[in-house]
Amino acid sequence: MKGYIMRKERGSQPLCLWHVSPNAMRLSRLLRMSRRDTLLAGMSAALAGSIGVAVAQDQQPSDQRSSNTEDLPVEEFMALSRRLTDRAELDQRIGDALCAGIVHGNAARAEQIHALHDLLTKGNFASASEFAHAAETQDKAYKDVVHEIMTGWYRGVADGKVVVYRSALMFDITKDAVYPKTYASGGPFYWTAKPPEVAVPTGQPAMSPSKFVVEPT
Amino acid sequence: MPDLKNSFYTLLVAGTVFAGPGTGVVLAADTDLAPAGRGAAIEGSGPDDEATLARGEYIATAADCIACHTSKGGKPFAGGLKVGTPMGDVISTNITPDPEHGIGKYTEQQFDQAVRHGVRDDGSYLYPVMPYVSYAGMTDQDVTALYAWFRHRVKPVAESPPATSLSFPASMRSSMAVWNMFATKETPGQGDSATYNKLKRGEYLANALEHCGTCHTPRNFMLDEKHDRYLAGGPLSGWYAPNITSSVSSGIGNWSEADIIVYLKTGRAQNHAQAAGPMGEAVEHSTSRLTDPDLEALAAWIKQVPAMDDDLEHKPRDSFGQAVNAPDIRTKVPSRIDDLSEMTGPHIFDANCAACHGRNGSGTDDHYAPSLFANSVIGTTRPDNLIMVVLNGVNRTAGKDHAGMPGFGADSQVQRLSDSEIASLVNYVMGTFGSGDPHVTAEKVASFRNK
Amino acid sequence: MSSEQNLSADVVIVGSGVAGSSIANELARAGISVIVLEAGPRVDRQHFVENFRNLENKPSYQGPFPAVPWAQHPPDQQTPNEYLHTSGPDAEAYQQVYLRMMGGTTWHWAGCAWRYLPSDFELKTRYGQGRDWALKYDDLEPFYYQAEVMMGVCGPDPAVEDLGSPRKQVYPMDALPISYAAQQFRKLISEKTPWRVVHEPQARNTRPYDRRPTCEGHNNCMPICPIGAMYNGSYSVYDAEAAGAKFIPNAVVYKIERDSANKRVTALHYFDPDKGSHRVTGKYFVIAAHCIETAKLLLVSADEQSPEGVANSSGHVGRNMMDHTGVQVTFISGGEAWWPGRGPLETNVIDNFRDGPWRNERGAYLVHMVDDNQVDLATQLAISKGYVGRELEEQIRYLASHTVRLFSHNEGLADPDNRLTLNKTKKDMLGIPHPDVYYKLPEYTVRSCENTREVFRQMIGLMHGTDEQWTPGYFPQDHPAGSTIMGVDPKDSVVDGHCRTHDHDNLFIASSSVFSSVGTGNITLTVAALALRVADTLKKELIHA
Repeated sequence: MKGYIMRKERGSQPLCLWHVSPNAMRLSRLLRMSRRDTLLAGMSAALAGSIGVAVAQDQQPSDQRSSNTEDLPVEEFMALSRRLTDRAELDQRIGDALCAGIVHGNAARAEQIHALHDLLTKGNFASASEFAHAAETQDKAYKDVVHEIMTGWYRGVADGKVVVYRSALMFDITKDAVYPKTYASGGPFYWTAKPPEVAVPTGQPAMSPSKFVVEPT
Repeated sequence: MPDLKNSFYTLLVAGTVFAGPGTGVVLAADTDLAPAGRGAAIEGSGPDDEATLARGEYIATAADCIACHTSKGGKPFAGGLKVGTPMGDVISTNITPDPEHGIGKYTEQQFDQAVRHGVRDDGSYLYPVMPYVSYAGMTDQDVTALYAWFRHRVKPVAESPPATSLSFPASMRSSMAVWNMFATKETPGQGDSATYNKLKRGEYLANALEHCGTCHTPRNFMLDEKHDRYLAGGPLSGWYAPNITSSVSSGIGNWSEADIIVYLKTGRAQNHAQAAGPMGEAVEHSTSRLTDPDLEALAAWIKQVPAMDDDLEHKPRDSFGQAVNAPDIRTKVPSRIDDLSEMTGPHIFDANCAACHGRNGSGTDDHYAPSLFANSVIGTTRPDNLIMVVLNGVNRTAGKDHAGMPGFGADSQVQRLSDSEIASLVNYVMGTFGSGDPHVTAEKVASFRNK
Repeated sequence: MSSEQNLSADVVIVGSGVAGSSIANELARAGISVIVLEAGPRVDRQHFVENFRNLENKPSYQGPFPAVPWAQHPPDQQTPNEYLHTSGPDAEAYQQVYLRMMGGTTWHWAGCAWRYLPSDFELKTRYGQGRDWALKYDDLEPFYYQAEVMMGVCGPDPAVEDLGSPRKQVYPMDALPISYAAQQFRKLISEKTPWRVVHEPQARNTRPYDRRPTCEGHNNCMPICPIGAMYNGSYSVYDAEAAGAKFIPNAVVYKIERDSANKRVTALHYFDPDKGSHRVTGKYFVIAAHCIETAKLLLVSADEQSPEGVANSSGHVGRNMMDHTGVQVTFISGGEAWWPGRGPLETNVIDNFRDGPWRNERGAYLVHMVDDNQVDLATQLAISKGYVGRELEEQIRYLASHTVRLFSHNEGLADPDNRLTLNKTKKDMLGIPHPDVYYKLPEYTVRSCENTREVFRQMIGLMHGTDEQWTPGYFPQDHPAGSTIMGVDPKDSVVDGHCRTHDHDNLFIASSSVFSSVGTGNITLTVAALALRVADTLKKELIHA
């Protein structure tokens, strides 16, 4: 069997590190890691946006995102996020990491977050939908920013990387029925019971649709 | 799953059990002979009627004979279970009524000598791998019933398990005679145990049959149970049988009778504790099969056991911890398949435990995988049982209720964790969900392997 | 550079997956000395679980397993690919993935443990299509059972649900209780169609088995069961090692040495990751290195004695590449909430199309209703539709509870033109060429897929489906087979009915590469049964000798 992925723009082909290291088994792990680090440093440009690669960052954070959050528009990002999720409370720790990831993936996002925040404070928006609609109306480019904020909070992904898995909001809103893969919601055979019913949604999209394609992995 | 190899017996000097090879030191028959000729005289009933047989079966269950006298996957009561001791393995014997391989030639008196007095048919002493000091408290009527059931209802098995061959000095054997004289034994119960009032019935179940004290009462330097510390807890070859006195701070004084009953019946009492290792086996084979009135009696007895405080534990073991409220912020991408570098405690927990116990430690919604907080195994100051469970896992069936957790020891098919990985894990789990980081070292974990 | 160590065993095996490790285990238990050479490293589960959680593209089940450079495996199913290069009209449909590491590809299978049907072994005789095997179902039946016991397979009582492959014993474990979603699917199909849904036999614990726990429904069989409730080859590795078999990881075999008559294999040569070369001698040799790597090794071993490659006097090594190339659709049901993703991934199958008189013109197939958690897909879909806030959350719940995914395994056919060759320019770090595969889906399979699409459209109609997402083209199933095809005639096949190469008396192949037809059931149980039969043959010959 196979899975699926969404066709999405990926910054580059997955980086192949196969030719990076002969990984002599007799070498100490430390030495091996330092070789990989050196090689990685030289290839760091190609690394952005790639997934599925071996990176020698075992116990350290992968980048400097978290160390200079004061330079990031975190509070504006949080205010936007609360409006766009219709939630009064969001986890600041996740917000810091998402904001860092989004800006790291596209430096222009910092300015766009600022501009969207301006729009938010100047208007009087009663819901996420009202605000998202206004944002897209003002500038089509804002749709991508809103998508990234939604993708961040709900999927836990920013800049093509996992920021949170278990703690992504998509699992919070479905936890009465399913758990994230690799976690169990019950003991053996819990799945034979009837899960909760779900009413047909009545809400409307706030923004224009985007292309969505399922393709093999 | 831990079998009896890993259980409490290693602290006892071990020896042949029942009809082992006839090499024991034959002692003078008058050292400790029980009064002869009892047990066969129950008014108005022959020894082998159905009621007697039913009683015998129940006594065998309550006394948990099968736990030791059946090997893994073997025929019931045909022996063959390896019991680890400091001198080597003792192999339990065939106690089916087969005349050549089992106890088919035992008279009732000989049977009684073995069960209540630790003397086997050739007159030599059994080592107290066999808890005859507890069984000594059985009533004559129950011994008779037990004998009848073994003779008539247990299927004879014509095979002998491998003989125990221990290489300790012969003097050890004779020393058992001395031990036997000094060891404190239960006094035989009188009358019909079925007519005892609730508390007396509970006491009888706890002491003469279930032999709770064998594990839960600490032992003195002579390895005799310290009766002034009844059920106050003690170490048992890897496991720690906890203080189950009525002390609120050190025992289970904060449990209700209902909690104790559900624990004995199912092996778990939510927000208190769950049974693994030897206690898991006791629940599976014995306590889960007791009648409800007997469970009530046993619980009532345990509830009133005088409180004994512990020198290490000053707050209920199940009163610690809470769900972790931290997002699982991730900073890594998949590492190469040959990267087996050791992870930190939180990562080891996430990779091996969180799948079932939840990243926040609260277990599955249906409590199949228990919560790690409000859990005695984690809240205790003694990491012994957590280490043993991580190494050996849990596999306990009580009626329809099954509990399973894979072990992470050297023969795990799921994940083999190193000593230092287990140390990091135990320190993280107890530090996060329990009474604090116990600072377990890799060396300490190593000492628990193969216990 | 050559090692001074003298490595030798009665039986030398290449590959530590389900085939190699189970042979090693059987032989070691019989007191026969065994060395297993595994190209990849030792691995462990805990790192894979973390890798999965750290993986952004969760459906990429190769994603948690980044390869080592000396034993590359395909990084994903994209074309072009950085290791497995496919070409031809259906190049994308042969983008197989597999794993080169201790325990093999069963680390990320879904545990589906089908026996083949008796007819699958006699496709030519019964339907005039493809080829017959050089053995019958009955020859394999005892080994199917042995494999089921080894893996721990659960399945339905044959008296209640006959899956078409006659059994002498019931399954080692009771059938898995199916999820609410699967129950409803089963009900719908039985009430509204002439078809039936059956319990899929699975190498998954429905009770504690072999020191592993009961399945708890983590819904992540692929790519990694977090608790070991599903069989994988690493358990047989552990068992074989406990029985005395010697496993050498990071040993990339690159040469098969024969005697001067070219009738018997005398030694295998392998590179370590530093390209140090080592020679291992033995009495018997088994190549159990996955369909693609097995053919590659035989071709790489070409020399003056065998210019077209070892065991290749027929010219069929690398040919007849097959798969269960299929069809997949995902859609949103208009019915009630099924909430897929509770329990294991693959538990139920429509099996009506596994055999029938029409098989003389189009291939058979089976249909899976996949029971996987659709929350991530639903979230992406809802965001792409333009929802935010409360409306987004409402959509996610609705879509996640109403997504249905169906896919099929369609029967391939042995066609010599579908061929694996060695890439002329691309080599790995040890200098071993990458594999190339030319693939054109046989017309027989194309017709089968057309039939499947029609059935899927009917099912979408039954469920009032919307938002259909058809996987473009055809859908590779990672069940490659046929590259060292079995047959009675040495002129057009590579191995005989006992998986012994026609050319070399003491060289066996244990892999799906020997399949003469590919049927419809997942291939692993048949690979394991053939491997256990090879072990049986070897035991008889070695103990007799």
